Amino acid sequence: MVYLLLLLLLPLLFSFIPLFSGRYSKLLSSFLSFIVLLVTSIFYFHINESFKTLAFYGVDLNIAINYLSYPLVLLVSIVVFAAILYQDPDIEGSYFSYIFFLEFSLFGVFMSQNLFLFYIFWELVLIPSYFMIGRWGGPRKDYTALKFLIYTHVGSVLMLVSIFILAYNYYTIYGNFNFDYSSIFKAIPSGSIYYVVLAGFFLAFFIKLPTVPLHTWAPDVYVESPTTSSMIFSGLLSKMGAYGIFAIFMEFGDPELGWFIVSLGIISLIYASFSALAQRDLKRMVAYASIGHMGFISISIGVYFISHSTLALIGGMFMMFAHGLIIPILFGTVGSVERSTGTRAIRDLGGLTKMMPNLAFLMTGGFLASLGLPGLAGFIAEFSVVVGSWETITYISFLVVFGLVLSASYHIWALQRTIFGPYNNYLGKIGDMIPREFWPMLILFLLVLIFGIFPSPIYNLFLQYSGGVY
Amino acid sequence: MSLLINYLLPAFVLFAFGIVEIFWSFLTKENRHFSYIAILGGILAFILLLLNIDEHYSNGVFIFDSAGTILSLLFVFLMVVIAFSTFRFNYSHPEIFYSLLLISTGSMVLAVYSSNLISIFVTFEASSMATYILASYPKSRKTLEASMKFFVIGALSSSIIIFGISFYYISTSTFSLGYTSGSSLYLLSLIFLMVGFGFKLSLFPFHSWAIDTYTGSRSPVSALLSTSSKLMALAIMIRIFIFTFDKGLSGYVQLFFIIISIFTMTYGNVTALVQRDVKRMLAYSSVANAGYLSLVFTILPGSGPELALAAIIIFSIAYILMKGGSFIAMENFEDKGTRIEDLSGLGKKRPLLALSFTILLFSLAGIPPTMGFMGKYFLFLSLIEGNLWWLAIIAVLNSAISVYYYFRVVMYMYWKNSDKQISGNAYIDYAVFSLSILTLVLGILIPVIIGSFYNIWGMIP
Repeated sequence: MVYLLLLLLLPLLFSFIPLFSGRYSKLLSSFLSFIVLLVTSIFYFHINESFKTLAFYGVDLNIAINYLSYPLVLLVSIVVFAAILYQDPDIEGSYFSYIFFLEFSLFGVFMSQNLFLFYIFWELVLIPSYFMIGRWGGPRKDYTALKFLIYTHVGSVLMLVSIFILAYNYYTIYGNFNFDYSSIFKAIPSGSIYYVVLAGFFLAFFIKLPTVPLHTWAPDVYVESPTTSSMIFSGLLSKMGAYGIFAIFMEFGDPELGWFIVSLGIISLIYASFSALAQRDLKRMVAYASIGHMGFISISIGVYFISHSTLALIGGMFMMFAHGLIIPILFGTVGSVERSTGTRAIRDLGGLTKMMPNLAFLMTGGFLASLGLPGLAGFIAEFSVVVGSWETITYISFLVVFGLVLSASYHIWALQRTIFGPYNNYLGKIGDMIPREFWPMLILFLLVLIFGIFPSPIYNLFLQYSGGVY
Repeated sequence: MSLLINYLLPAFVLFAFGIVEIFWSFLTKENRHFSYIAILGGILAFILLLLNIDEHYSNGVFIFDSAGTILSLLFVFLMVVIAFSTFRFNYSHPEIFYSLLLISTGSMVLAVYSSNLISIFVTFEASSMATYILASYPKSRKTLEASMKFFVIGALSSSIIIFGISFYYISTSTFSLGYTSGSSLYLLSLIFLMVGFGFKLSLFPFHSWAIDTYTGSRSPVSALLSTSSKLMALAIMIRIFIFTFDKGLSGYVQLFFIIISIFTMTYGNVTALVQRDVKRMLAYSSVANAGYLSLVFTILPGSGPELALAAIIIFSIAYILMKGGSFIAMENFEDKGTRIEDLSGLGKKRPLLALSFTILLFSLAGIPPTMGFMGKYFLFLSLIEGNLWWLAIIAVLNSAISVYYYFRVVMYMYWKNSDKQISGNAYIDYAVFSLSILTLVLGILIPVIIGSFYNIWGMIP
């Protein structure tokens, strides 16, 4: 249906408007992003729409939303809406243009049903991100922007080689080029080339995820970006990797690979937790927390490869959604702390609850959601993954639980040192969160609460996608 | 429409306008008159070329096919853009510059159509001679040095080509292409020809002149040298080597080209990483691109080179637009220095130029959906079709390295500031802008029209 094409093109159209709206750019952008959110919500009742043009040499415009991609499209609209509301109105209008362009590219990544198109949108994400880091970043922005670019671009071009090999293999078998998800994976080659194809996709997705040996771009990018960008990058860019894993990498379904990915996930979780414990900068700690949680996605897909446990798989998928809602709250509240007190160093803070009660409420809520407190969205995901993986990896699950304990400890410890305890009088008299910071965070937190108590609207979608009954 | 004169007419029009330039100099010395004449001649030749884009015709000396016509169209188009961008040039003897621009382009048009070693040599030399003088225009120590290096190496390569031609004649008793022989002399002649034309294409061990010449000569001239002149050498080499591969020599020639192309791309990219001078960086990236271009020779012996031959045309279109445009953009910094710091704050001072240059750099880096991505995409796809996927991985990794040095320039343009004024004029901006828009539009169109690039090389001599 052509409405889907309109949904894809809507953010692209909107990306031109903030350029010409001068000092009203924030107001206008908030309104526009709300429209995108509304349109996306309407599609909840029209999942499984698709739009396809004629193919030329296997290249066509083939987009669709299904039970896996719809929640992510929704997540993109929600997070972009919240992030634009959060943004300081003093910023130039072009910043909002980049955000809308990023939204367009992300929609494209999640909607495309064709590897060629997928690659184009995947690369297109780099351009607005590069400018968002480089123009509005912190003191090390030049280094960070290039590091981000090289890291993710190397992964992407290796994926391009894999796509080539798949396409060529399809060509030798069927005599024509076809990049559609539904066809191209019939032609997964065997022998040594199989591992080349696998490595290309693996690197692209696990760099973007990020998982531990390939994660070093992530803390820099999250920390050096302004708060709005951090919310979008941590909440949405990592979901590209996760989506790639669930939509494309899953087609390989190699049981031998399962153990490797599970161990990578566990290492990622524990390593990131220990790193987070050691951080002195609150924002950097949150960045490591974000990396740690992505470990659950590796664990869930690895377990699925070994034993086809649908529960773990759905847990991983729900982790994408929950993490996308929770992590922006963490970055948003940390941003408020920084604006209000002028510092992010944990030891310079303390007892903020006295001066900033609203912040204390949201930050505690966000941190508890992040550590997986029952009743909040993160718990549903972590619980599903741990329970689903028990059958398969049995005692190794203790390592996962150990990671969870570590995760709880650094969250609680950070809360204790920043917003609770005695007030640090050197901070002087400081104000609470201002409305532009408070409302978007509250909206996100309410969503986390709603999906924590009543996850089925989204959970069932993933359930239908994986077609499992447990 | 099979009269020979119809095919030769575009080149003759270019030559005629070149001579008109000389006579016009008796009337006036104002630069813009000569620019107008060159643009007019270019447009006329462009239209004439468009008329026989679908025609195929060959005799023993020339082979007129669509591939040659597309390349000629590109050369003429770039020449028009260069003539437009140099509208405000203000140096003595403008007639020399524009007349040689027309004559060298005319010779290149004939060179890509040649299918006989004698006509190849004559047209190749004619265009080279014109470019030696172009490289030294306008008169200064820097351009003289560039031109001198270019000339000495060019003379050397010409003599090597002559050697190759004579070996070719001894082994096959003809100058026409398309005849092969199993003797070792034939292989020797191929090596000589490859080295001779490899100088022009700036393949790895023969590239060092290119860096100094592209950096030293004036930017519009560098645009011509690094694109049209190179693609001419590429087309000649394709015409020579397309026939050599089915006669038992393919193994050696393929291996040779694999080694050369790997070295060329890797060397170009790695040295470009450390350059602080943008023009020099572009020169090194042009060497790296020569490596990508020469990948086509590794695929020719494969079972079906059709995709490779279509891909090389697409890559040529991309290359001429993005590299030509980048060098023309550098003309703005010619007077105040072309170091990377000198580009600081371009995004604020000249938004149109900065945007266009950014698109061209994205295209060079191979970011979709630009033309540069499509060119590399189809070229690497043809590599995999030729069962050389490991070579495709090396090429792709090289392409990934190159992102660093292109994006560093974008970084300086957009988020560094400086008080330095930037010279140049609106004509350059519009020239670069038109090239960048074409890069973007064609990049989106190419998947739709790729079918029309199949089987456009006339192979029968």
